[in-house]
Amino acid sequence: MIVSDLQFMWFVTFASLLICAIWGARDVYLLFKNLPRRGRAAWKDHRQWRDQIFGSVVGVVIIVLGIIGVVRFWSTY
Amino acid sequence: MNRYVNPANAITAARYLTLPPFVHWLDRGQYQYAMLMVVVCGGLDLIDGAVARLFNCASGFGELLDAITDAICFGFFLVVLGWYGRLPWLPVLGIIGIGIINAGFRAVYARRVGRAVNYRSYAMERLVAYTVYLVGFGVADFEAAYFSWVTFAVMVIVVLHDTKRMLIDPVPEGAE
Repeated sequence: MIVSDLQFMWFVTFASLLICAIWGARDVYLLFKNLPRRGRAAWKDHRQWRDQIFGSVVGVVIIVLGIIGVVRFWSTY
Repeated sequence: MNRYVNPANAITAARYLTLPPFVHWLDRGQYQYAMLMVVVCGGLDLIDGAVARLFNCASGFGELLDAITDAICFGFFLVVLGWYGRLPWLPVLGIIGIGIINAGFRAVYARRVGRAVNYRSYAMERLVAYTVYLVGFGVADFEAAYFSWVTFAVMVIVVLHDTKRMLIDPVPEGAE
């Protein structure tokens, strides 16, 4: 073992939260940057733009699910 | 620079070297060392693209090798973790099965477009990164069942979206 089990769990927790913070901030920024760029009329015409929005929404969702997982782990540890 | 033998492809191929020690340490219950192999494999995945740009040796073959290596390495990690009971089998099989179906649809899309072009899915890019974390959570036994089912559920939604885009929506004129 490199470190104790408890230290390892704290490492996993901090690494997860750090990634959540970085990816979450990036995807929220991309959402705010991309969403107002075009109106609702462009929704059907610009598929790649729509893909970017969908990607950012999925990014935010998995970040939220990741934070829930970390909270679940420590609430039962 | 050689199309096949160059620094970027060497780094991509080196990721396979993390697989045997991963199994070795997982088998002996040395989970932290096994986790280290996952981190090394993911880290090499991050830098191979940068090395390709640095040495000006990016190629279609390199992109294909990278995609295949992603699928084999992360699929291997998931199967091994399922085998050793660190991840539940059902979502693991679901994730791998959906990944194979998605790869098949990508081949159909390439045929529809009429050239070797890969549909860029921004959502799937995020989900692949998330799968790397699922492997880490499995090794660390960190809410592994929860993260497995969550990854499976999100993957179903993303693949349904991508399938519609690749097989039903009209193919755009320009490259995607």
